[in-house]
Amino acid sequence: MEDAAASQPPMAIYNSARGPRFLFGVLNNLSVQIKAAAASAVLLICLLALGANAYVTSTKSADGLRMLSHELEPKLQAFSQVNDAIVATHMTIFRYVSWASNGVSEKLLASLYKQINADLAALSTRIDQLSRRPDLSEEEKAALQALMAKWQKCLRQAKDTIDVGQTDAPMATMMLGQTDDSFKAVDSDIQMMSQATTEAANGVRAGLYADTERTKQFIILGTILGFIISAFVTFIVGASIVRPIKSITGVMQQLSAGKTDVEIGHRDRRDEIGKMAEAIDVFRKNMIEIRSMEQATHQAEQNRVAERTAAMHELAGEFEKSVQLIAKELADAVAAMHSNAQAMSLIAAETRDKSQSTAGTVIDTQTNVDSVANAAEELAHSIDQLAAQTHNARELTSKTVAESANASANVQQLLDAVSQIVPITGLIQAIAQKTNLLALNATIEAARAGTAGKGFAVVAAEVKSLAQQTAKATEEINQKITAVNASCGAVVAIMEQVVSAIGRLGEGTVEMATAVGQQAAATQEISKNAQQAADGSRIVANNIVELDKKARENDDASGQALAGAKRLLDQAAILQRQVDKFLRHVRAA
Amino acid sequence: MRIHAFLVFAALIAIASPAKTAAEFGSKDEAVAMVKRVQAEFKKSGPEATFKSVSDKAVADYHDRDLYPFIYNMEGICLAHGARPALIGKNLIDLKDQDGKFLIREMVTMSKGPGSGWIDYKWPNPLNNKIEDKSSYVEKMGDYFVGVGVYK
Repeated sequence: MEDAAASQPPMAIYNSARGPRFLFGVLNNLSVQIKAAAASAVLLICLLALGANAYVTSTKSADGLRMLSHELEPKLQAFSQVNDAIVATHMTIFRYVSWASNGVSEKLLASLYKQINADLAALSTRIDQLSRRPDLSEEEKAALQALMAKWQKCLRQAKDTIDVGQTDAPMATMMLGQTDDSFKAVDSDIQMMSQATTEAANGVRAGLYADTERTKQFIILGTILGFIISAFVTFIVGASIVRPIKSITGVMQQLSAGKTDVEIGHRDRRDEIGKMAEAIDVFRKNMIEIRSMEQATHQAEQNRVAERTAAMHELAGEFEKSVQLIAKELADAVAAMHSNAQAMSLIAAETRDKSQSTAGTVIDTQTNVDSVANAAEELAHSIDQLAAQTHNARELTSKTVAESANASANVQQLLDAVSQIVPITGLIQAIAQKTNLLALNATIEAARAGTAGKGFAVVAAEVKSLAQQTAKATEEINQKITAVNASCGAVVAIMEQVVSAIGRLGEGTVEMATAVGQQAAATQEISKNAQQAADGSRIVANNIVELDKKARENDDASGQALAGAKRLLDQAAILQRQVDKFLRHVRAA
Repeated sequence: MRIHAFLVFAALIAIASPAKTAAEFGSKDEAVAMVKRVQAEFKKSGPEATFKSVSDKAVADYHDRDLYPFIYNMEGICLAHGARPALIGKNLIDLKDQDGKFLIREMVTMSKGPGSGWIDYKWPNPLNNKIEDKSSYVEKMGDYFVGVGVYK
């Protein structure tokens, strides 16, 4: 921790205001390994410091002790011995002078004199040895050199004193003063040196004591500091690892439980925990993204289904509407058709009946016409023309009928067939009228002819009667056809083509009528006209037969139409049901 | 000249001597006169003879009651002594009296400086071997000095 702080001193200065937070900031950016090592490092540093201190101190103590025991103490001992010897010798000299002054025996004095000389010699040797010691400092050497000189003087004075003392005790006493001084000077030097050595030894001892005391304090302080710092570091490091790991574990549990709105802290850290938090955040973001993508996909699916359903519903609605419209129209049309077919069927039945009766009438007419035929040979020619015209008309009608049959099925055919009757009956009526007129003319002509024309008059009367009957029959037919037409009023719109065709036929008929009218004046042509009438009646008969046939066909066709209409209705109902079912399915989907 | 000076000196001694000779101890004048005698002999006979006769107690000129001469060189070595022959040959430059006075050094200083003069100190009286106050007249004599003192 201290290392961390020391390793980034500029930052420390920069962020000193942040204090402990900065410390944690630095700590959070250190790798877990370094953090784990920090506490041990602190302890290790303390241990090293303590060990180094102990080593240095003990080495110093050993040096000091060796110096004391091997250098200072022996030197001090030597000084002390020299000092003791000087004092002893000094005292002996005093004793000698004292003895000499008090008349002690010559023998004792001589003995003491000898001893003093021996002592002085020994002292000289001792001082000499002292000055040759190898453990002397330069100062001590210089001091000993000076002491040697002093000693020489002292030695001389001592010897002088005892020499004088042998014969002149008072003078020896007198000389004691200078000897005293000399001895004191030497002794003082020795004591000074001894004092210096003692002081040096005391210094070493004080140093040793101070070192020991300092080491003791250092060890106590180092131990306490090491303990506190490593405890602090352990706590801080632990806090900076354990706490975030706990919180991250909680976050991970929440994430694994599928909760993504969790706050992931410690991501600003630059250590492993920061990286871990970062990675977990990536997981969390991925989870959120996947979830949102799933939701989007689901939403899109739902939207798509809803849109498709709506479209289906709309389509179904539209389809239903149009189908219903069509079905309704179809139903209406079918109903109309049905009713028309029914009506047509009735009409057809009526027409058949009528045509049958007409056929009977026509046969009668035929007979009459045949009777007239010969007489109406002239008329016949005109009637041939008419017949040609009628043929054209009939062809046209047939063509029209065929067209209408193609175009509008059986109903149309029925209407065509019905329509075909109208002009024919009209023609027949017209022919009948003209025949009547011709008969009237013939009657007039016969009357004019007189007797010769009596038979013709009878014939003419007969023709006239026949014509009237024909007209009457035709009138009936017309009436019936009108009835048919009236009944077929509802179908008229569909029958426009037929009507137009009939219109065209009408025009042809008008032309024909005009042509017949042109011929009417030609009396010569009465016979021909009669023949024509006969032919016409024959044609009418044929036509009636044809009509009857057609009426039968028509009846069948109308029956078929009715059946078809019924089937159509059934089919329409089935279609309606199927459509409903289909729509139900579509809407249900 | 020499004869004249000697005659004057001899006359002076002849006048003074009757009063002094009667006293128990020698006087200052007698001391100075003894110094002059030593000087005279020194000049006449040289150092060796002078030292010998000064140290010889039989020579009456240099041994009168408590008066006696002493000769030291400038190093403080005693060369002749009228009372204490044991001192001859000893270096006494550091000799102190009971008052702590370096009397020999003062004598050397006196001799090197003014050449002559009086110095007071303590010294054993040869008559009773007691250390007494003494006043000595010292005079330079060649490479040496010679002195004679009176006890008070």
